[in-house]
Amino acid sequence: MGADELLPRVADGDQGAFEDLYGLVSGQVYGLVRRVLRDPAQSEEVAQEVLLELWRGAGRFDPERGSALAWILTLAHRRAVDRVRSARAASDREERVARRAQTPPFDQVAEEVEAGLEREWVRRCLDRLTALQRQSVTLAYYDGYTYREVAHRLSVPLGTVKTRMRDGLMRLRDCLGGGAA
Amino acid sequence: MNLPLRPHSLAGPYALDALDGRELHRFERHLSRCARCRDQVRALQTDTLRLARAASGTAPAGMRERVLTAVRITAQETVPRPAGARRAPRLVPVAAAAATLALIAAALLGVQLSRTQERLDREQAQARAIAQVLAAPDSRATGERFPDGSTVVVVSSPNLRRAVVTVTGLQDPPSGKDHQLWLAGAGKPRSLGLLNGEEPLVARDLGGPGGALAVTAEPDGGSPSPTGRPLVQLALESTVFGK
Repeated sequence: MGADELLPRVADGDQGAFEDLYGLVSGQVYGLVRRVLRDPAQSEEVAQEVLLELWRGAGRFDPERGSALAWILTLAHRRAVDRVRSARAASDREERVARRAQTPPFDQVAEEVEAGLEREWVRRCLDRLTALQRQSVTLAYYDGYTYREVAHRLSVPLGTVKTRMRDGLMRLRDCLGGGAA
Repeated sequence: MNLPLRPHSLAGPYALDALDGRELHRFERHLSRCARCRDQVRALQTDTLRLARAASGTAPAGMRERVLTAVRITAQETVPRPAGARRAPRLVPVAAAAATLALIAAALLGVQLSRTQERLDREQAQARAIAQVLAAPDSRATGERFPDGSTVVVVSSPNLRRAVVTVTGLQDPPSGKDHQLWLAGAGKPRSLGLLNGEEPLVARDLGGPGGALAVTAEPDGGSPSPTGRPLVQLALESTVFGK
């Protein structure tokens, strides 16, 4: 049974369905949260929070708005981004003078060697974007920066970043084609 | 903050969750009025889903048990579905007060609920202590729901010699009394501290074979050894706090 069938059962209080759903999505939820947060302990905490929220809020899922997996991963991504931003705000306060010279995490995606067809395919397609499109997309999605922060980090105007994000995603779509999503 | 004149140009940043604050709210308001933008966002979100799936990993082994334990004791939200009403495009955060047991599950998972400012520092220290136990590689969860509706949940790490104990659903202690948590083992019961409502309590310096947890009502400020009858008791397996 897929997530689309399981989630409505979870909404009805079916704990067995939740266990199946956990088996199906926990790796994807944790992996995504971890990609954004990096820190394993914090990632686990946020992933647990997301999974519990799936149980509590399964009734909020509306199949007309998209697939269950999209809903779940959107939730996971937003929670991870919220956490990374509040952590950043806290550390910015603590070390206001901190050097900005840390390694730019731009091409983290390309460093991931772990195989997996989807991963490999997405990586290849990200490589086909222009550098600015790729950096705009990955700094936002995998590092949790707002588009204003991305513009600042890349020293380009806001309008450019907005456009690169949209164009980058659309070009990614062309490259990925209609493959399994 | 300069807000863009053409908000629908924010579809890309929105799909990537790269908006925040006022700009996010403003764009979401705009989305509710702009069908073309909703279509665009939806298409772009299909693309971000691919990015999400490409980040798939393996969840830590201990996480499953903790989440399933939390699920067993956590009530679900009831979602009223007003007929014909449009839903907000963005997921609404879990309403903190929606379920009686949300607090303990939240504490169990280290979720920070919104509180008054003056409590934040203490709670953050507490949350860190809790998170530390939860994130310990050897942490394990156990718990029970009693017929009267009260629950006791324990997440412990033998290596850290700590446990997070959460008791919910007890009636308030009579005035002039506090609920005190005890660890009853082979010797004299040892106080683990006073319970503050349903807040989780971090018990430290644990060790030795299991025993049982018990809550009694004691004169204000607690007693050196229990004087009241146990209100709830949870027998612990010997593995909970290590051997």
